[in-house]
Amino acid sequence: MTLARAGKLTFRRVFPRLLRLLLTLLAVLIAGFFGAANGAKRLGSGWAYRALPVFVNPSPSDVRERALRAMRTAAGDDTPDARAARAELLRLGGAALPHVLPRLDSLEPRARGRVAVALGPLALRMRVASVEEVATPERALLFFGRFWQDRSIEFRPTTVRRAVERLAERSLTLRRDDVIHADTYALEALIGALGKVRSQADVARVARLHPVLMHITGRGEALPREPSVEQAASAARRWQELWLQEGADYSVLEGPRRIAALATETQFGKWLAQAFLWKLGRTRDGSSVSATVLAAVPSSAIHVLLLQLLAIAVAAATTLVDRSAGLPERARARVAATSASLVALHPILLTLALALELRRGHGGVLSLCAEGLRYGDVNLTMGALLGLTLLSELLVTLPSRLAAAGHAEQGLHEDDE
Amino acid sequence: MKPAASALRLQLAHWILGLWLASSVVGALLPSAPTLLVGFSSDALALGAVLLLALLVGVPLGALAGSGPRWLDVTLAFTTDWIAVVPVVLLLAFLRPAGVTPTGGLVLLGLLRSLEVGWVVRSALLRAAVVDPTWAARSLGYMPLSVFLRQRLPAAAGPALAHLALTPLWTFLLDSVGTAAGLGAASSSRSLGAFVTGPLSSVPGAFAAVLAVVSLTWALHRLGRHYGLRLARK
Repeated sequence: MTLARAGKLTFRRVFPRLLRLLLTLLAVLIAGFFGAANGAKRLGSGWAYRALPVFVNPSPSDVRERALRAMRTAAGDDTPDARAARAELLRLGGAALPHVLPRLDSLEPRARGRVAVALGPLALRMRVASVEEVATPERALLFFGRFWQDRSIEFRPTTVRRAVERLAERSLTLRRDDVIHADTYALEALIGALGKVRSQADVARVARLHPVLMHITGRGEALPREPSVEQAASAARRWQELWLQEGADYSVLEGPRRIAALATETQFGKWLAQAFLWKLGRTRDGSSVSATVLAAVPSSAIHVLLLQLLAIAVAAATTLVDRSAGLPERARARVAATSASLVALHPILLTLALALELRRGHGGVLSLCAEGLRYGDVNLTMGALLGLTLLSELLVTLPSRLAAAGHAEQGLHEDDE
Repeated sequence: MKPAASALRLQLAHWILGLWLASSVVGALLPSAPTLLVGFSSDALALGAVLLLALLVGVPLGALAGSGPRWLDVTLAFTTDWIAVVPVVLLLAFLRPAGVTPTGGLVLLGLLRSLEVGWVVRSALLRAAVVDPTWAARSLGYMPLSVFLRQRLPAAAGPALAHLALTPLWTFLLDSVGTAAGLGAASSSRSLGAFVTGPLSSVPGAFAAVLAVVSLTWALHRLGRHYGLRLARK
């Protein structure tokens, strides 16, 4: 068997190294996220997912669970809790109806009336009832009974998706009303239909869907009469962010989706989704994390390289203390040994690099990471950490492994001689 | 001349260590001790805990990784790689959950130091394995454990002790950079590192603190070489 020369890059050496890099990255991200999520607990951190578990969500809640809970509480007397539950029913909107209306009969008559009245404003928002039809508990009950008999068939994913597709193609009053009748039940299909915004055709599609989304959710700002690509893309992104934050409140988690929700309905899952969708997301002040980190990497790389060179120079200089013969050979051996042990030295070199960045006031990835931790900015912390991990791998662990291989090869040659 | 100078340096190292310990005791016992003395006692406590953990965990871990099962070596290599990519200050801030006790913080610090020391011991053992006369020793009837204890471990003691001696500087650096970065001191908010970068710092005070830490590092290095290596060779 012929062995590859020490230090030479072969698949057998590179593949385990890459695998280890991935594992290292994963371990760093998990430990880093634990710290970042802890930091984000403070008020004013701007992290929207604080209420979720950090890594595993053993009981992710969906629209069915929320709607039934809200229905039971809203059925009670007029307490603050009942009022909050009625507001929650309105927020959940049309997505809650397939779970609430079929179960109204399970409540006692007065409670049933209270829930029906609470759903009145929703019927108005859906443009399916007049104010008189939902003015009293009796009328509201009668209305919702008939409504569900006539229209329950429309609350199917395929029906709603088709209605949204028609609206995305051309905005007609009838098509718009079809989607508005489904209310938040159509939210997933609507946000999915926004897609990527690159051309004028995409802008026109967003312009057709945006007002409907605003009507259903009661959020967002109207687009200008002729929006630019950037304005449309920004609007689409805001809706997609909303779906990432509250999507589970409007959808049913069943089967594989429920299993996936164990990981996706967590702070880490949300951050990962953000990182993939929007290149690591945005910082607290609204700037792009990927751009900020990329701008900071060269500064940190220079600091770390300078410190490494200093460490190696000090190691070489220590050979001058010993006055025995063969100074160049000893210096070379000392430099090789120091280069090979850079991994052990690296955490301290990085700490010194952080001190340098703090002292000079130049924002490198290290100081960005510290800043993110200090303010509980999860996106910035994780983005900077990702940059730092790749920088460290490139500047330290890979070269030191190669140096170690070279050092070993030198040792073998010396043995041969 | 040379042995006399060496003896003098050893005596000086003893004095520095003694002075440090005395200052620490005074700083711990006096209710209104100056901040510098309080820093001495805080650093002494952190140093004791970290060194103890590094010796109790790091050295056996490195010894096992350097001569024991392969999975342990691979795990230690992976963990060291993992630690190497993030500065310890940030790693501590990540791993230290809010509201951790000072003892918990010290244990975490000690465990991180143990991993570094473990890696140094493991590397030194592997270097020693290349040159040790294992086969010759075995042919003379030595057991592998005996070869390990008599040949390899003493060879690894030098680098390990040199690395351990750097611990005062290590904790000082972590405390000062952690405080300056607004992430909190690694060992204690009353440590010398936190004092130097904190609002109460003055130039003479900072100079005295740095001098004390550097001289303690030198003293530990000296004492480690004298007693530690002798003990390892026995």
